[in-house]
Amino acid sequence: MTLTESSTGSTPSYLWTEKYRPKTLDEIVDQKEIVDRLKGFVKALSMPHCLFAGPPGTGKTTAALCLARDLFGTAFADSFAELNASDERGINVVRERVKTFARTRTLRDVPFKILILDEADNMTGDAQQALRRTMERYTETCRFILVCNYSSRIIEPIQSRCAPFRFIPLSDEDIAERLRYIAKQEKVELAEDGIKAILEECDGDLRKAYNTLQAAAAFEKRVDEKVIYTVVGRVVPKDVQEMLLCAFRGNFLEARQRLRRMLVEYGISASDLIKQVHSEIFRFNIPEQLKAQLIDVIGEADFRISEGANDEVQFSALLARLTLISQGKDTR
Amino acid sequence: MTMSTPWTLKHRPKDLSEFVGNEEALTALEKWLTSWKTGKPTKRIAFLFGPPGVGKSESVAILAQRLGFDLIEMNASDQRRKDDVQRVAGMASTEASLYGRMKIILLDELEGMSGTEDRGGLSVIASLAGTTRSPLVVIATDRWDRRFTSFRRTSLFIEFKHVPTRSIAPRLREICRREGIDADEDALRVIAERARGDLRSAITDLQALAQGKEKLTYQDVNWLDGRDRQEGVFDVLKNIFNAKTCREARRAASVSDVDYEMLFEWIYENIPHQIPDSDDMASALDALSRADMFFSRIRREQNWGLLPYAIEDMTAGVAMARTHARSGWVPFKFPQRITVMSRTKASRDLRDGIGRKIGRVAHVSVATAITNYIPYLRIIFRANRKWAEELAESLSLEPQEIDFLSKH
Repeated sequence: MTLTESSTGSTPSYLWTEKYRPKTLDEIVDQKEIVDRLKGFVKALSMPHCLFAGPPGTGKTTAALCLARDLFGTAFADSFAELNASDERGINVVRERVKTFARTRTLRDVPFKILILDEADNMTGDAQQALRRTMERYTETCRFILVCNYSSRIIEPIQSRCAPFRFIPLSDEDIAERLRYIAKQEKVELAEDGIKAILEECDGDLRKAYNTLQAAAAFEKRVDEKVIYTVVGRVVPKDVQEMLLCAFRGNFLEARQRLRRMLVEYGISASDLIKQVHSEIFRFNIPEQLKAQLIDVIGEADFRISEGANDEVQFSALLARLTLISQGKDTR
Repeated sequence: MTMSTPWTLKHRPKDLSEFVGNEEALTALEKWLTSWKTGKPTKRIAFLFGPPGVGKSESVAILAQRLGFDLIEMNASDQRRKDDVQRVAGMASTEASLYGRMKIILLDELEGMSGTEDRGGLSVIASLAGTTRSPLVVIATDRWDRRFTSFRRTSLFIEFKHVPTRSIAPRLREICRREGIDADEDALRVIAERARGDLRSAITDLQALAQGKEKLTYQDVNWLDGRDRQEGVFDVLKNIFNAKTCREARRAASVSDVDYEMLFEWIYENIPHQIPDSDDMASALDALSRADMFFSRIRREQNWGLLPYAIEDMTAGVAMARTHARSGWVPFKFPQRITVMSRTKASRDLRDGIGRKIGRVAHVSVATAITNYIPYLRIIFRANRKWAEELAESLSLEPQEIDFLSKH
């Protein structure tokens, strides 16, 4: 797991997601109910373990960082640590880190430290069990904020020990407002159809919206619909579409080659890729009955990918199945 | 030690824990040597036999050290047969070595001893079984060689076997670690497999290929993956893809010494070529996908009881998927996935490194950074030089990382 230093580094960040990330709870304009509850923690100088769940780009990590900053003030750097569960799934790192982290006490008013465990739903069941024990053991000196996309992937005993916070996708108006603000700060001319295009593509994910805008602004000082779609076209490789087309036409070898390129060379994670395949199916011009069948086999493949070890083999099995279905030959 | 020191010597096992393979033989030998400490065992000659490079001589050296024996070694390079025999006989009759320690007399490479065509010399040595006061160890590759008849009744035979590939590779990795070489898993696997159970030749190959390098990639050893090795795999593949029964298919895998993970890759690569009918291909890949899930469960839960199902899905499941007759012979292909993995290793490492740097700044995992940041950064780096410079600075990117983002 990556140990992340506090984000109060001295070099200014040029990633807009960082530059415009709120620093305090007051600066967060959305997720109002959540923010109010968190402010209550700051006022009381006390908090339970928390579980922040919600889709990507809804401000979970930001809220956790702001809470810690508001609570600890200048002692922030010593009192707060961040681990990302996806970078290494071993529980030992968490345990060791918590052990050394929680051992020393701060001299401040706040009698505990905060550990943010990001992407916690990527931990295995066993690791979560061990985490539960660690949480219990150090509960006096260390509060955990578990951040995840799906709280259902967190084991029950951990869920029951945490105060749950459900983050919802930001409204289009909220995102549009943020985009306009940034455009003004960065002296970018942002056309209304540009905003609309971003909103359509980013699906309530603020991080994606910021990155899209920044990439578009790198091209042109005036960002309109056309620029946005150019960016989107470059970010989402055409390979997904083309891979599926190859499979539908029965050219398995070509499909497999594209698959390999995406998984190995581009480093697209299998779970991302299966989601893209899933959403791509809806755009294809094929009979609706066929789509319904395809959805089922994609779901099965998604399940197998999470069960298996070799993503490419699981995907290949899916591609071969897609060929059959598209040829009306699937007898399953 | 200089560059020219053979790694087989430089990295010889220092103690039992470093000795790879042949645990049973080692135990038998240790037991026999230990029995000398308390008296004379009934069989006073230990006859070690087995293929080359599996640690026969090494085991004697290690145990001698561990049990406190002096080791007196003679091998085929001593050209004078008669003298040999006399020296051995003479030594065998004296009890202890200079410092009162017990000694082991070791006659290595028994076949190579000059004059062994004359069975007289060897039978003199064999006859020492009744009289020797020191443990006498002889080593040969073939216990059934007719020249060794005279040893048959008087010696304790200890068999050494091929070292399994799965044990060779970790040893090679350890040596690379000590030599400061960053070696690809695939590269080591090729070397280990090619050695066919001969650890010494694997280490020799490794030295030839890796000495003086910082990295050893699959590309470096690719050519080694030559005919002799591939034919082994080809036979296995042929037997699997042509199997008429589940039993045949399963057997094809179990009699080979190709490791299962590698075999899995070979089968995966070749399914579309060998079973091109789309119906059959889908069933074959489905079987392989189930095998993968079994393998994954086995690894996760250490549930080795599931191994037969994994192997049978991968072999019988694939073989039985074929319902259409094949048309002619199609050559087998080397697993491209492995080639691609090793060809792209450098750029993947670079990519992951950038991902880590972004992750630290943007509070995300490496994987998230790769999918949610790097594609946008690439656009920016290609479109806007000034922003690229600022971003590079704020992320502390190295020149080659900037290159990675700027180029296609």
